[in-house]
Amino acid sequence: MNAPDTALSNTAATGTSHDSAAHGYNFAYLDEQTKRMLRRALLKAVAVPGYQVPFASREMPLPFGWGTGGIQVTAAIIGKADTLKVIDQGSDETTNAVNIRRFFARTTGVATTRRTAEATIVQTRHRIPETPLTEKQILVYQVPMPEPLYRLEPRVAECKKLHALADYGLISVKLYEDIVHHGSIATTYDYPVIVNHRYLTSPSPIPKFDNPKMHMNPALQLFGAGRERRIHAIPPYTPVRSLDFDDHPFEVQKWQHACALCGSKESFLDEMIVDDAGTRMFVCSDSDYCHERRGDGDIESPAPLLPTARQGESA
Amino acid sequence: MTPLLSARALTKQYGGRNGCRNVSFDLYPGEVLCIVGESGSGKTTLLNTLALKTEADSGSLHYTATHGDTLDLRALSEPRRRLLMRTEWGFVQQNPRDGLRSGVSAGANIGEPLMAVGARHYGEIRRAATQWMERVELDATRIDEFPAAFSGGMQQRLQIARNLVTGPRLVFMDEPTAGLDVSVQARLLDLLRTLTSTLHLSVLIVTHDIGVARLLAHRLMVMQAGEVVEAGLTDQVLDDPQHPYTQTLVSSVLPV
Amino acid sequence: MQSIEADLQAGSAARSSAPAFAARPALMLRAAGIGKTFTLHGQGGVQIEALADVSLDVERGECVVLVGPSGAGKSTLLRCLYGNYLASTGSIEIRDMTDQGRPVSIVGAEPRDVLRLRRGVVGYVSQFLRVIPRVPTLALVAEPLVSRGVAEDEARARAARLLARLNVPERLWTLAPATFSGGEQQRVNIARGLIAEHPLLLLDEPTASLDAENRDVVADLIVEARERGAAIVGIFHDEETRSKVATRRLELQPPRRHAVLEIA
Repeated sequence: MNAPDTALSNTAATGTSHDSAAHGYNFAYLDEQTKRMLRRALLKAVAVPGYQVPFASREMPLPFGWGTGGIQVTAAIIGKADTLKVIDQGSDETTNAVNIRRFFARTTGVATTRRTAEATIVQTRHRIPETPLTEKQILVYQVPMPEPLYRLEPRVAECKKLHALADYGLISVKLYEDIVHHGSIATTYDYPVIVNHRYLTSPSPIPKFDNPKMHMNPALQLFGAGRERRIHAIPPYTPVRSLDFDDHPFEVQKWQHACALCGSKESFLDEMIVDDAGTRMFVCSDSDYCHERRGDGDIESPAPLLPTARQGESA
Repeated sequence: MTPLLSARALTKQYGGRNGCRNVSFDLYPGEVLCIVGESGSGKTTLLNTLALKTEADSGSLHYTATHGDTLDLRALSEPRRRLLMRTEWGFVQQNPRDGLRSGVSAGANIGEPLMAVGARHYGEIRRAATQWMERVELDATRIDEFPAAFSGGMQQRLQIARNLVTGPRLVFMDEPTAGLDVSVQARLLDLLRTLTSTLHLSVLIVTHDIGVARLLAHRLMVMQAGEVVEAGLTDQVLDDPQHPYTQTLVSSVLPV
Repeated sequence: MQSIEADLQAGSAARSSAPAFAARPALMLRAAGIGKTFTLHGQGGVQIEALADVSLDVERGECVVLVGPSGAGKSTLLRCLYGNYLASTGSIEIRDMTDQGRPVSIVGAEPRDVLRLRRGVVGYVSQFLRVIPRVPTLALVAEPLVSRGVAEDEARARAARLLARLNVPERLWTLAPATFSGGEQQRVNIARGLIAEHPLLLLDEPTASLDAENRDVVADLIVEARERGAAIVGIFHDEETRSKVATRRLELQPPRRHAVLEIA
């Protein structure tokens, strides 16, 4: 099943060809049977929005914890005519984003881009692009832990029952405790949501700022967790509600600053330390969005900023 | 009057031995029934079978729900069973740590059953939790402390509050005062006595302590080697025991 | 010791009770052929006959005083009437005033029926105060009213009046009776037994530990209850109280004691 698809590698139909380093690999690395297995899981996931579908996660050329779930989902759906964008915490230029994009370029020959508007598939780690998506686009999320009840109910069998019976009092208890100990709901990322009025879902560690974007989004949203072997999905135009209390409603983060580069007051800002004196600068986390606003066009990489310009790694 | 809970020939055994055999009784609303026996008598098996924590081998078990329908408990689907346990029943464990969530505050423990049935207002949940802490005579200012910060007797009160907050009609209790100091036991028994009478609860209590039975129960069932050997009005069974085992049990109580 | 014929007689006495209750509207209690035998399994099964073939009808406004030597079974009879002991033979029927005056059999009754009768119809004052520890006296005395639906304030007020009448000092009302003297405990007991004004009262030596003055108070209370229309069965150890309260006396004699194995 892993035999190289020689027919594909010899065709130059789209004008692009695989990188020579990827010679001998099937299109998008995975064999066709694996892709079918993944697509079946994806179809199931789309049919039951928010429900975690188990799948046979494969060994990928990078370890678990580095986005293998998202990569497998992308590999299953990507076609020769697609244009791929890969971001990591909003940036196209981090090591992970660069490597994953190059991985797909080599194994598929597919066009890649930094511009959200041009992409047909966007694979992301921990952010949703600021630029609104369209019905023609698919957003693939990398998910570390798909189970929102993981820390509250460690027993897997019991967790399954809770989902099956929509017995979600436990997550309310967590939010209650947050208010007790912090005065407000303290969760700022991976904020639990109810998808399609039914399943409690982890949206992946995106900031809660991004949660509203999930609601009634025209794009198809797919979630892959490689280590945990689960796939879930939110079909286009699906209601997604962030949990809250009547007297403590869901709120997104707000900044007092605007982006230092493009002046946006609406996007998610990263705070960066720019020198040894501790000077701070607030910059859009979504690098493409920032470029677009600045009218920078299709620049390969942003002006070399500063060595400490690193957004924090999160789990 | 229809009984609240009806058992007929209920049997649950382990490998053909032990457990409980052929138990039949009716429990009416507002009655407190104590199941008394020494360890190994099968009383805990019986309680767990009645509360649907264990599946019976044979016999029938019926319950009259709030809306008046009689449910065949043994044929109930798991979702229905869990809903029943969440809304109309309570179960007080012998060790309060088994019946509480140690990782969340006292208020969250009491509020969880409310949240599980859809309560969505933080302030109201907190108010209900405060009220219940007062009712079980806990210091309500400690609402945000974790269960581990409370003593054993207080944890048991917390567990009782957690079980009663949804206003159940039937509460199961497994040796609720065992393992507590005598004076702590006494206060807890007073609390249970008051609550069962003011809330008009039906309660099934398992205990090996006859004093608890005399204090709390209207009715008594004495179990020995898995079978009910005597049953009746509490004061009658204790003052005029008929069965040899009951007589032994009653005469074994040390006078104070 | 009761033959099958006696059982049948008792049965037929029970069957004929319903018309008796219908024909005599003042009839509150009908006990027929009561026998009580204790079997002590822990002592080789020895049987002790405490009562043999006792019958008793009590009407409203009557106070039947049980007399006889110690061991005659007077207390045992009262306990059988209250459902505290299981009568071995015979029938006991009480008019249920809370249910259109129908006669209800205590023998073979469901616990909840006996409890219902005890709440609304039959009151019992035992010889010894056996109460829940740690409950204050006033609450203890008010409790029978509260359990019948009387508002807490009114119940406490009535309890206070009754306790005052029985000369229980007010400073004791907030204390639990465990530390009271025997006489004080007994008066609390009586208050608790009489406060709900049950139509049928069973009194077991209510004046045993009381001084003369308090005996009089209790006797007055009993007479008032009787004149209010209560039916009373009582045991009193002093003749003065007996003559004050009794409208009738019933003499009991101790039955013979048997062993299980009678060696000829």
